[in-house]
Amino acid sequence: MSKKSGRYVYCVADSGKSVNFGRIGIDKGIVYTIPSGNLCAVVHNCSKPYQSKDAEKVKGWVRTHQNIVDVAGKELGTVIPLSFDVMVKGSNKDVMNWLEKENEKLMDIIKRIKGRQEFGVQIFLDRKIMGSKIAEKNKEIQRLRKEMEKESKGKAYFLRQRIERVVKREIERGADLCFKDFFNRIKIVADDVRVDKVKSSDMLMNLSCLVHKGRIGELGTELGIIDDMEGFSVRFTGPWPPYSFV
Amino acid sequence: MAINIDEENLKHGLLGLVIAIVEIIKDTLRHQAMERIESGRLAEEEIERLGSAFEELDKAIEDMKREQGISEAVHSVRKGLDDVASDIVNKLVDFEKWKGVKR
Repeated sequence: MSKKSGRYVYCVADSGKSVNFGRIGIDKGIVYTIPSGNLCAVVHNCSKPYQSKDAEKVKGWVRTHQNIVDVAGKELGTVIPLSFDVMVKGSNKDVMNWLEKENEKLMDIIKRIKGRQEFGVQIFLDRKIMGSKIAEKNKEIQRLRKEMEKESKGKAYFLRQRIERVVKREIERGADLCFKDFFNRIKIVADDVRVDKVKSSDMLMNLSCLVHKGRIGELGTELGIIDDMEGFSVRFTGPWPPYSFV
Repeated sequence: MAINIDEENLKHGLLGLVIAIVEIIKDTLRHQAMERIESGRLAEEEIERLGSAFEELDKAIEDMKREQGISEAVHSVRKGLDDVASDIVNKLVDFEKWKGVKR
């Protein structure tokens, strides 16, 4: 076992305990901790990185990786999850040296994420609903509509286009205001918020939130209020290990 | 990698692309027309004629999309182009969104 020339690292834990988790690792590797001072690395021995063209195989590896981060978190407390396929070259001694050298940085991260979990928050906006609400209230649109009724076919066409343009502009303005409002509300409850790229045109915002365990209920309440607003819906996922914040 | 070409698929894809381009040109022309109307450079009957022409063009394009069953293909070409454009714009102006947001 110790002949293998590298250590695959799942996570770093806020514990100096020596634990053997058994054969639960990727490709049935024996997962154990390498303690160094007040920290330990959760590893298994391996000789080369995990790469494959078979997407299903990779997905399986990633799932195992996530599972071990969860198991380690339950056993050892706060863990800094590493992304899939991180290896330290060399023996346990090299891992210990790495932990020692990076101790200060790692402890800072631990302090930041201790007692906290990551949640995914995606807020969707139905622009059609927002558009019809705007059209009901907006004075400019109402004026253009009245004008359109009186006009001949050709001129009415351009008035209709102008109405559409105003509606579109007001939807974007409204969406922007909501974005800032929701962001600020979530920011009060979360310790840290990361803005990710939206994945579809109906997605208004895509956030990763680092939340203290004691404040998850508050976040849920805030999101409930947003979800109840007409035209908005919220997808709330987690808890995840804080991958986005380490 | 082999590409599967199905004749019906190819027709839909190609027609979808052509109509998407026609729509984009039409949108540009309409934008131009509206600018001229708003600047007051066009006479009443010119506006009327232009409006009727656009109305008919809109209808002709919609009919063709429905008859050929290419609405989805056109939509996906335009969405693809929109995504590319908004990606570029976002890269340039994203920080604007953060003005007024306390981080």
